[in-house]
This record gives sequence, C-alpha cells and structure tokens, in this order.
Amino acid sequence: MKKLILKSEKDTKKFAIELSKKLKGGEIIALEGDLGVGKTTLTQYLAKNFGIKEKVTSPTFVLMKIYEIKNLKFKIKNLIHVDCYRLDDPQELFYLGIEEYLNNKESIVIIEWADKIKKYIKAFKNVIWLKIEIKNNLRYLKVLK
Amino acid sequence: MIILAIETSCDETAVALLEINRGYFKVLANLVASQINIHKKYGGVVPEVAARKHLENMLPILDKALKQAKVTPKQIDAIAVVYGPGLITSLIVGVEAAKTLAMVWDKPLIPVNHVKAHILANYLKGEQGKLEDIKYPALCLVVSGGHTSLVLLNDPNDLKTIGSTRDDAVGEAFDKAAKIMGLGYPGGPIISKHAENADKEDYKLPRPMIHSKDFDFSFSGLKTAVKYEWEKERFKDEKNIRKMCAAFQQACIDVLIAKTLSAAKHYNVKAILLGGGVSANRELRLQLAAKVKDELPKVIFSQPDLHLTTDNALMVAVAAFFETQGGLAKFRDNWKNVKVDPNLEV
Repeated sequence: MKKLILKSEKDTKKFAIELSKKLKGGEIIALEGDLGVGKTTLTQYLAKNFGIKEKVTSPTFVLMKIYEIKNLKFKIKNLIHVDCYRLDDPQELFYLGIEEYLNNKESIVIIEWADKIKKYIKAFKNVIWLKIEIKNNLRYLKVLK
Repeated sequence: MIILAIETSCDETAVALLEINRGYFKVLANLVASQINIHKKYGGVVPEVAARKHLENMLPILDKALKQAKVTPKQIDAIAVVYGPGLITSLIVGVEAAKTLAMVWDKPLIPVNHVKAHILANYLKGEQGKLEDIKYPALCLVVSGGHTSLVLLNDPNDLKTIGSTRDDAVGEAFDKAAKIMGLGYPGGPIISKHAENADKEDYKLPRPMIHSKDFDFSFSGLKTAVKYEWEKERFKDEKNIRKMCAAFQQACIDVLIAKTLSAAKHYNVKAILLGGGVSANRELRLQLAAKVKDELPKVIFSQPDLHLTTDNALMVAVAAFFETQGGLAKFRDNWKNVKVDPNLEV
C-alpha cells in the first residue's frame, strides 16, 4: 500500500501522469471517496495524458461514458468512465455493456464510487484501488491493490 | 403535414402528433408517461428500469395519442424520433418503435437530436397558432439534468455549441446539492421550492468560471462548496436549508446568466432562447428575462411553454418539421438507416 498527500491540483496532475505511465491496458481503476475529493478531476488528468481532447464530464447522469484514445502510440484504445453514485446493483452496468471493456487489453476502466459495488469489482484481478480522503484541506490518497 | 413523434431518451415515454401547414401549427396530441415516481427511490434514473417502463408504456401511449388526435395512420406524413443523446437502453425502445411503424406504414423516418428539439420547442407557444418568428442569429441556453450548453443558431438547422459544462450539468448539480441536504429527488423543483423568499446572501458560495473568457461552465466545485458549508453548519434546520437552497440556486443562476449575456454580446445575436428541463426554474426565467431587457434591450428573449421544458415529443415533432424543409424524399425508407447515438452532440 502506498500513501500520498495531494496538496493541490498540481499534485493530482503529477500523480495522474505517473499512474498513466504504468497502465498497460486491461486495468480497472477503482476510485473511492466522498463528493468533492477530486475523482472526476483525477479522471480528467488521466484522460488528458492519453491525448483525449474531448471534455471529460461527469458520467453520473448516463452512468458510463466511452472515450476513444486516438493517438496510435498508445496500445490502449478506450478509456471508460463509469460512475456508481446512483447505482446499487452492478447488474445495471451489464445492461450498459461494461463487460466488453473489463479485462480488455485495449481498455482502461475508471470507476467512480467503486465502493458501491466493491464485491463485484474485487472479483477482478487487475484492479488499482484508490481511496481519497480529505483532512484539514489536504487530500490523502491511498493506493490499494 | 402531420408528424407523429416519439421521445424516450431518458425516463419519459412521450408521443405527440403535430400538424403544421404554411407556418401554422396545431397540437393534435401531446402525451407523456413520466416515470419520476419510480426513479425517486433510487435518487435518479435507473437505465434498465427506465427501458422496461418505456416498453410497457409505448404501445398504450401510441394508441392513446392516435385516438386523441383522431388521426389514422394513413393521414400521417412522417414519423420522427429522438436518436440521441441519452441513455442507450432508453433510446433503443423509442427508435425501434419508430422504425417498426415507419416500415409497416411505409412512412419517412426523421431522426432528431434531443438537444436540438429542446431548443426548437421555442417555436411552439400555446396549443395552436402561428409558429413563433425567431430572429437569427439566436443563442440558446440549454439546461437540463444531462446538459448545460450554449448553442448558437444561424437558422433552425444550423447549430453550433459554443460552450458547455466541463464537469457536471446544472440539473445534476441541483440533484447532488439536494442529496447533500437530504432533500430527495429530483433536486431542481425541490431546491427552487425551498429557495422561495429565503435569504440568498447568508451562505457564501463561489461562482465557478464566471470570469473565464470562454463560454464553458463548471458546477462540480459549487456542489463541493455546498457540501463543505453544509458540514460546517451546526443547525441543519428548515430555516438554514432554505437559505442554502437559495444561495445555491442563485450561484447557478448568476453563472448561467453571466455566460449567456457575454456570449450574446460576443456573437451579436438577435434573440436569446432558453431550453431544457432546468428552464422550468422560475427564478432563472425571471432573472434572465430581466437581465436581457436591461442589458440588451433590442434582443428578444424567448422561453418555452412550461410543459415543453421537460422531455416531450412535441418538441421532437417541430424539430423534425424543420429537418424536412428540403423535402421528405431523403427520409424515405430511412427505417433501414436510423441508429441510436447516445453520445450525439449538437
């Protein structure tokens, strides 16, 4: 387990760069943390590092958004942004077609509010679990594998 | 011509029949089967539940609409359907229904963009009459649970998004703020009800991106600010809930109005339009109308009829009518081609 303190958005950006360098495809990045800890911000920086130019907006309303990675230097072709904020049953994600992207070498799946479907996610091998907490205006990030 | 329109992009199953001849329109039927009570307990729309409900509702509502309009399939000139953006599982139900009807009845099928339909709802005022005379270029502020954008129109079919949210849609921010205060779903009407006559200055909330030079929005940080202010508050009583609702609503309105006006000035538009579910918000309507009158007296301000702010199929019919300006020929046998596009943009 790795622990980090993110003092500002700059640190989040730095962490996102490091993380995106380590990704090989097929990973699930599970994000846990309350409203406002910066889950979407982290996702936005990850997307940026993969050359995604579209706006990465909150997927709360549609539950899942798919972004194509067009730059050919990456082997990863899709970034999938999922939001479980309103979700109680992982089955919902199946109806939206998430299976196609899980354990797929060409995709990275980022799941916000992953703790809502913890059991379901834990069944997968390639999970990077990130827990973010705020204490005294500082963001504490734990990397749990 | 008579258009039968279907809309199922989110949680409302809607069917409408609209007659338009030489610039005059008549609403023959406009039905919406809402699922809001079903989704309330989930705090938002659940795609699979929504899709199943659409399936249950579709045939009865089609039947009812045709009966109410006293129209036989033979009299219908074209079928219109929303093919995106929206929830894929919901969109599919409407699109498949429309394709089936178009094939069986041998009608042209007109695919319509949901956001565009919200904008063009401004053409319909009342149950019948002349289509509104909208002056171009026009700017539309589209605000709903899934969208927050500024769209520039050079004519009804020439639309360009000039700004949009970088994170949460404003309707989504209302939902989340309501949830933070424990107020239930949907957040929009609940917050605006609580905000009535309440002090909006008591809580200090940010106006995200209000001074940025572009026409983009951001509401994620505002929601976070509500959360922190609310956690600090020791007395979470009715009085303070009302004050927080008022402060939050005003922060949203301030940003929406500031960006709309600066875009209107920048593009020198002749009309400002409102569209989408959040445009039912009374304070937004009143304050935007007043601001336009004040700062841009020559610009005409238009807002859709209240019952056309939320999802409906009448707006789809009128948008389809404008699509057919070049004739119906290119929409013949179109049931073979139309596909849903959940991420469709303007």
